[in-house]
This record gives sequence, C-alpha cells and structure tokens, in this order.
Amino acid sequence: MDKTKQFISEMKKIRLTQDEKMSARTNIISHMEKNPIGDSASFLTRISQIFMPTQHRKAFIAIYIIVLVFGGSTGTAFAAEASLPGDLLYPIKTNVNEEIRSRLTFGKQSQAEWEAKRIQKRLGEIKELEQKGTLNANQIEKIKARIEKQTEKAKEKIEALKTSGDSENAERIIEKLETSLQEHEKVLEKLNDENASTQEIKETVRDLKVITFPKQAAENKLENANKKIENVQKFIEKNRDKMPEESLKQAQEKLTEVEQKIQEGTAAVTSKNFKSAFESFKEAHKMANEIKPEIKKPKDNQSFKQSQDSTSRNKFSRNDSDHK
Amino acid sequence: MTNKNDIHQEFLKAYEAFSDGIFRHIYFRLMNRERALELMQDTFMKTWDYIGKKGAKDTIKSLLYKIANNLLIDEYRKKKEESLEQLAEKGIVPKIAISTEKIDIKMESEKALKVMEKLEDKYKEAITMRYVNEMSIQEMAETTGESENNISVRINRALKQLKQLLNG
Repeated sequence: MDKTKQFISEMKKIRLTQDEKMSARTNIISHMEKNPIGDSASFLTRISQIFMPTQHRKAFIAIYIIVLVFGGSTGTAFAAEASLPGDLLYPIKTNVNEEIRSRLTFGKQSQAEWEAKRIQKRLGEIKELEQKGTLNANQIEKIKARIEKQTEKAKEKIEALKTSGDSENAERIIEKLETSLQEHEKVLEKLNDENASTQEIKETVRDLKVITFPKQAAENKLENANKKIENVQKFIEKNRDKMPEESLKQAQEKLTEVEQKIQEGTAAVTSKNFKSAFESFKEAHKMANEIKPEIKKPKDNQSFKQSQDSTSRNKFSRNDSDHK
Repeated sequence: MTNKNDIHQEFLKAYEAFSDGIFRHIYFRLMNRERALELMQDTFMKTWDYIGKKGAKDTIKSLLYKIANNLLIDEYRKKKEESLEQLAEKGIVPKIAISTEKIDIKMESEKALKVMEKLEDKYKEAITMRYVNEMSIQEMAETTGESENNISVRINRALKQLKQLLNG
C-alpha cells in the first residue's frame, strides 16, 4: 500500500471518542441556549439601521449609548416594554424590541399573530394614556400612524397565512383583533368627540378584516345594517302618530334609500364582489344610523292635541336614546 | 420553513458533520488532545456567536475553519508568552510526545502522527484539509483567503515533504 495513502488513512482514524463528542455537544447546546441568536448588541445596531427612520436615528444612537453605559441592553429593553408614547424609551419599544421580535418570529402563523398583537398593544396604549389622563391629540396622531403602518404589515402576514391554505387560523387572528377592538371601543368612542383620528383608527383596524376576509366582513355588515333598519322601522311604526308628517316622510324616504343600498350590496355579493358589497352595506348602515326621526319633544306636548300619557312618553324617549 | 428551532437543528447538524474534522485540524497543530478538544468546542461556540452577530455569509464549514484558525493563532501567541521556564517553575512538564496522550494509539498511527508532527505547519494544514478532511481546493481557498493557485502549489509541496518524511 502506498505509504502516503496509508498515512492519510491513519490520520483519518484520529477522531473524537463518542464521550468527547457528546460532552462537547452538551456544552455547545447550553452555550447556544444561553446566547440565543439575535440577543446581542451589534444585532441591535443592525436592526436599528434597518428600521429606524432617519430622523430618529440620532435619538436612537443617544439612547443606545445610554444603554451601553448603564449596563446591558436587556434592562433597557425591559424598561422600554412598559413605556408609552411620549416616553423616552417608547421608540426603543416599538422600533427595536418589537422589530426584533418580528424579525425573530418565524412561521406564517406566529408572524401573523405577532403583527396582530402589535396592533392590540397600540390600542392598549391609548387606553392606558387615557386612564393616566395624559393623552393628547399629538399622541393619538402618532399611535394612529403606527397602527396604520402595522396594519399594513399584519395584513401582509395574515394574507400570506391565508394563501398558504390556513384561512382558519387567519380568521381566528382577525377575530381576536376585532374582540380587542371592541374592548377598546368605549375609549375610542369617548375620544371620538374630541378627535376624529380615533374614528380613523377604528376604521383602519376594521378594514383589515374587509381586506382579508371580504365575504365574512360583508355578511357581518349586512347583518348589522339589517338590524339597524329593523330598529328604525319598528320605531317609526310605534311612533307614527307622534311624528310630524314631514319628518315621517323624510324618514321613510331615507329608509328607501338605505334599502336600495342594501340591494346594491346584495347584487355585489351575487357577483362575488365582496369588497364593494361591504362598502354598500357599510354605507347603508351609516345611513340607517343617521335616520333620527323628529318627534314631539316632551315640552311640545301641550301644543299637540294628541293625548300622550307619561308611560308612552317614557317608552318613546327610551327608544329615542337607542338611536343615538 | 425556517423556524428558530431549525437554526438550532442546522447548527447541530454542522456539529455532527464537522466536529471530527475541526478537532483533527486543531489537534495536528497542537498535538495536545485535551486542548484540541477544548478549542474545538470553543470554535463551535464562537461560530454560533458570530452567526448571531453578523449573520452567516459564508458556508458554515468555511466559517468554522476560519474561526478555528483564529483560535490557533491566539493559542500560539499565548504559548510564546508563557515561556518554557515559566512552565517549569509552575511544575508543569511540557508535553512533547504522543506517548503522554491518554488515548491508545496503535503503532502505525503513532508513527504516522510523529511524521505529521514533523511537517511544517502550513503543510500540516494543507494535508489535513485536503486529504484527511477531504476539502476541495475551492473550499480551502475560501477558508484561508488565499488563491486556489497558491493552495494547489502548497498541497504539492506538502505531499513532497510528506513523502520524504515517510521514506526517510
């Protein structure tokens, strides 16, 4: 046998024993777990370069230096988690912590879930600020901008999940988001009087469903619109006597318009154009909401001949408030 | 589909595939089994950290060899700093031969290792990479940062020296 070949084959025999291999493996695994990929300062910098808008970069660098000086990025990252818009650490929370998590989340479902979660976080922030009593228009605008951006992302991820064939989970995520929106509806509604942006926030999040699940969204909207119409009809039926003729006529005309809109929507459903169907139903719902038939105010009672006892008036005002 | 666990899985696969090669690569240079084992382990840990910080642009294999080489350079530096006298003072007798190794190596292997020890470092590396660890010339060039041409020349010279030693 060739001496060189023999030499090589002897050298190949030199290898780790089974024990050596196993024990080094255990050490390496524990090292990997202690140092998860991504959990390092330079990774943070890299991420920040990718995600920081230029105007914030300087601020970020400053914060980053503070982070380095005051010991460890994890502490700051944790502190940032509880920050609210307007806080020094808030950009760290949204631009660094959350972006890193987005980056480190793999799998279509978890990605979609996480992006939806981020929107929920923003909604929660509005509530928190409102409770603290420090919410101002500027902050609402900022949160609104973030929600719009994140809704785009969430839409992308949810659609990706849906196209991958898992529309069941995609729907579940949307539903969760809707529930969260309902939970925060009161706060948004309350703020709506002072600031129109909250209404836009609501619409943005709602639209997510329309875009990803137009059919279900249209069906839901139709149901809501029908309910509203029914209510209005009942109300008119009950209070027909108490309504000035003109007002009754107006209301009935409006109702016809609403029904036309519904028909438009239904036509769109038949042609499977769910998005425009949704729009029609939404419009119908809005119009039905606006029908506020004029009725005799209690103080006007005396000037009308129709008798009106107190019970019917109570009923009437209850109904009235339902329509506000 | 990529998954966080997949990264772990991939890395452990690389460990299964390359740990022996990296170990040998270090061992032939240091001729100290225990230290080689430690440095092999360090190589994988450092590679993991590197991927975490900078991402993996190279193949993991060439990254492993690059990092192993850096660790070897550090090791040589340390050795220079600790002179033999210092070692003697501490009461540590420097290990010279394979006979001090705990592992039973058969006669033939022992002879072969002695030959390996006599090879110049750069030839040792060339022989180990090309023939023992069966790397391609391209891979070697990528790892060492030298041209493929240079590598080929070195392999030739290494073979020549090896033959001389084996016959001598």
